[in-house]
Amino acid sequence: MNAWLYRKLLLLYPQDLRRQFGAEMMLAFAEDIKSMGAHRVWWCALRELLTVALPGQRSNPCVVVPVLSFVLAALSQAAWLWIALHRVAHVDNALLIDSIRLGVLLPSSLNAVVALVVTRVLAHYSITALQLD
Amino acid sequence: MERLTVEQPESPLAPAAFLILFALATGDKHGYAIMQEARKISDDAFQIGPATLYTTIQRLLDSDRIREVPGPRDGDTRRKYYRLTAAGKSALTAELARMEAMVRKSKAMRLRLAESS
Repeated sequence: MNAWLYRKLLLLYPQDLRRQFGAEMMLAFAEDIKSMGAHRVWWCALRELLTVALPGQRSNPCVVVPVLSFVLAALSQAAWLWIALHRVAHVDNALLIDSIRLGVLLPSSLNAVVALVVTRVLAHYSITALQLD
Repeated sequence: MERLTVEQPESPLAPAAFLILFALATGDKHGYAIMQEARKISDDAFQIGPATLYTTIQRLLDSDRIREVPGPRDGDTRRKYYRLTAAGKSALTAELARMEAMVRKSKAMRLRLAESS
């Protein structure tokens, strides 16, 4: 399970790093889990996602555009939610969690998916146009 | 034969690059052994994960500070082994000298602070 998840996570890393060192990264991750324990190694892997994977993908529009789209949508939805919740007299935890899930995360994720599809379609067409030229 | 480099060693080295060069100073190692050695050298204060390790290894290979070498015959064929080059040794030596100078300066400063108080 750990190995399967990490293999999926590697898809977020730049392609050249994955191609050159992907198998070794998987091996090192598996050995690290054995010696250090899953909790600590996963924490490190998630930190590396932010410090290594995302900065390494800053020139890849198929990653940058959906991430930006998600962040901007989440910020604007969160602002609306904040205003709306201020008008409600009593907010319990269940309402807050549902509001965040349905009012912020769901629409932001949909935004990101649409952005990803549009970016991939545009990338595909520009490659086709270049090939035709 | 190791390639000679005329460029000045980059100083200060990034912590991950320094620890990888330091780990390789004691002999050829594969990625995971470098990770373990780096943890040991830093007293577990600096945790290098696989992504940091291989991104830095890629950078060190590109700058000819380390190179890939064949591993032992009976070893795991999936593993790649790495060795410090002459450029890597000189970068490591320069970094250690810079650190020693910093320690000397900080000790002198501490003495001066102690005298003034």
